[in-house]
Amino acid sequence: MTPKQLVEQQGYAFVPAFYPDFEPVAAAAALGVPEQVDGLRLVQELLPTTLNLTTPNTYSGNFGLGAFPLHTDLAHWARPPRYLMLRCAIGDQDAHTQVVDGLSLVADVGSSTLARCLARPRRPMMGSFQLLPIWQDSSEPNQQLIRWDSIYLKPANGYAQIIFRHIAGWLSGTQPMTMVLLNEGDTLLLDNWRVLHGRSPIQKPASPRRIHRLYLSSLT
Amino acid sequence: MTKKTTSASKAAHPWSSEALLTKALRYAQEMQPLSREDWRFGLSSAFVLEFLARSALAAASPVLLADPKDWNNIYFALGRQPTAQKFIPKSIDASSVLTRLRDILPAFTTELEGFAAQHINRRNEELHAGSIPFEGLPTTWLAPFYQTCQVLLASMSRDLEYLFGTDEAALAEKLIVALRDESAKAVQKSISARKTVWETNDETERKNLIQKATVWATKHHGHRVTCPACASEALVIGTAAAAPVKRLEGDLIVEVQDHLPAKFECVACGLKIAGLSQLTACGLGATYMSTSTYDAADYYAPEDQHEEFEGDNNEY
Repeated sequence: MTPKQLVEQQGYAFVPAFYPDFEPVAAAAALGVPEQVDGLRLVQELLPTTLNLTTPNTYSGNFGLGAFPLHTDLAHWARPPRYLMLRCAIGDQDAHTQVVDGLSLVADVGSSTLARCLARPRRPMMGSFQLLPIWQDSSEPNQQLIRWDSIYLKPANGYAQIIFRHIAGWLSGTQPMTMVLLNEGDTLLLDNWRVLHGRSPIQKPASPRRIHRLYLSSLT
Repeated sequence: MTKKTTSASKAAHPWSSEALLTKALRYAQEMQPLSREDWRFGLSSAFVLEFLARSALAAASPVLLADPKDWNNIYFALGRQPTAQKFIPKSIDASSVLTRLRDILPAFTTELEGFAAQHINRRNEELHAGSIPFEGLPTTWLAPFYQTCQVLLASMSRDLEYLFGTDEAALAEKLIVALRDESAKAVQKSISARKTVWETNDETERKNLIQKATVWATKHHGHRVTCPACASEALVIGTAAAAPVKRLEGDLIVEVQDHLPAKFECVACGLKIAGLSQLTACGLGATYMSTSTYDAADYYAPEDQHEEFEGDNNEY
């Protein structure tokens, strides 16, 4: 199966040592169409960082070397990037990437409940707040979207507060798939509108782990 | 290799159908914990209705929401940032939204438009006057409210459950069915009453009235039908339900257009019925085709203000 077929089937594809000699952009272009999203670099370098060394607008600024909770990237945007590539430059065998299929959450909580669950970003976006349903259904195939972030999204009302607690409970009780981006070129491709991902705690403060992240608008 | 465009975006357009729909959902959730007699339940429902109507119109295009008095509003609706100083985007008022929806969505009948306008006016009264229109309001507004919501949601491939949750949606469906039954009973009562009065006329008078009705129905614009009370020729008048279709027949342009019945009138017995639901209840609710014929030359040729003269020339 091709990475695209795997993503369509299960929401993610792990490709060990995918063209290790390729630059991150070239590797992403071999999988789909890299997308430069507003305000972010095309290739972002993810390094384990302690809480005091970064700002609270980042996950490291909230969780430091601790576990990154399961989330979808840029869930607080009206339309988050569709696909996400995490690619190993330098690995750490003790750091795991976790993946959970959001469709299991939808099946358990109910698409109607999640579609009626309104969140808002924790900070204003472009000067104002907006309402964001956790599950965005679509009559077009493959265009449904789940968003989740326990930090950047806040429940918009009492109903959403109840559902937020339910989702958090469900996620804490689920057993994610885990994989290690260990060798140069190890690549994890995610459907960011379907799967949630997270990171295990970094065991050694001096971890050399270096991961490249790119967003893609489509897969080929 | 890379693409600068973005399927990803930070914020939705505030006039986008999705943004307006989530706003309607928010107010629907505000209604839920309140008693149906609570004035805040009514006020929130008016907000739901307005956001839903705007969302349904924006689903065709957000440009339809722009106040056309200032072109910057149209520019804003197109997703651009006007450079005009101190610009605040202005959208059309609710009544214009409803008028446009009536013309765009065949199922959004004049009855529903009328109800929506009335309910949104209550909201205006609440906000602009010292009176308290939602206080003590009988809950008879609930059935047409849910019916209007149902039609607007269906135009966006949504259902009542999306907006109100499973339990309230089930109740809403029951209220809508009951409203239809009530409507059917009311119209049958009117027909029987007219029939009784009609039968009190003597035969000569009836013949005269039938003749008069035939002439009237021929002369006036509308769809000719048989009156359910006196069996004379009567008219159903409707609103366009689709864009006209033109075809060429010899030298003539034939234009046909589907219409949805809105009212019925019989001049013989005086029976009048208004609203699609009542017309449907007495078998007069079927759509009908209106046909107009034009001369092809008249239709396409530009009007010549001096057609009696020869062509213009520069001779003195």
